[in-house]
Amino acid sequence: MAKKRAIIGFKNITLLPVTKNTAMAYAADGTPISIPYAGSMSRTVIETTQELYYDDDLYARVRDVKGEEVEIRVAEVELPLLGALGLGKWDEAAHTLEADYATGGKEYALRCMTTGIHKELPYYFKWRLFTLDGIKFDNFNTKGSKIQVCEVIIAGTLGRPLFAALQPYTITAVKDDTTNAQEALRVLTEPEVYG
Amino acid sequence: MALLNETEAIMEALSAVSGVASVTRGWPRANAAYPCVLVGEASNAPARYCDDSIMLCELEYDVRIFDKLSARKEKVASDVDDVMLGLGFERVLVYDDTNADVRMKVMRYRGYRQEPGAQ
Repeated sequence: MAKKRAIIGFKNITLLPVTKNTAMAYAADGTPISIPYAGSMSRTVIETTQELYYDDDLYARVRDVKGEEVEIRVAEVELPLLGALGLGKWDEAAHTLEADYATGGKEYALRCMTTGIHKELPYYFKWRLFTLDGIKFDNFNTKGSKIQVCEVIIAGTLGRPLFAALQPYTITAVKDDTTNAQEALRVLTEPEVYG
Repeated sequence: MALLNETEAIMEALSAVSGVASVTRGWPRANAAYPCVLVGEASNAPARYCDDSIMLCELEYDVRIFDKLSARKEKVASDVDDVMLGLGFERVLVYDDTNADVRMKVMRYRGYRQEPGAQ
């Protein structure tokens, strides 16, 4: 009987800068950027639905899914990394980030690992086009009786690469006998180039 | 992986409190010199997970002050509170527990520490 694979964990967020995204080529081959301290990732579908009526009855419901809005929450992000992701300019001498509200819409391939009931059988997710819309700190709260972490929220949009032959995302599973475990792990960081 | 335990560090810090005759982990003997202080771990639990691992631990310690004189006990309690706050703990609960022979004040403190091995 196949082993159970319900997802119970989430970690190893990695961004690879997309250096080419055209109808003729796609390349996610920049230096991988690891985002540690993963907390949660929520996604909301971006879609339009249109209902067509003929003969006074519903003829068809056309659903067009453009992508997903995503919100990633992590415990912390080092200030130089926030600058590298486009939030602003890191001044090493002053140890200060000169930040803005917007990040400039950089494009990345977003990869992560989800752990299952059997730790040796994770899934590796790879979204080929993640447009980073914004990074911000969550609300501040004064200390209370229970600890409350002010998380860093990374928001963006998961879309479709322009290279028509590519699907928007992949999910790689480790086989029950774990023979492809090392190969699957490489999904997190290996570059991808087409065209 | 090593388990976080700051009992020894707390005992060492409280030993420096003026007037305290002894700091122990065990209940004071019948002929103990007063005031004496007992330190015990009350709780050690994960408080925050990140990347599927424990990132922060919540530690709680009970500090019990035994004395036959109420006024002296209160002075020691105040000094103990200063020491514990200086160690990065916050006071959660304080109450008096008294029997016929000895007055006891129980003070509970809570702190958050990074899990050993957490990146």
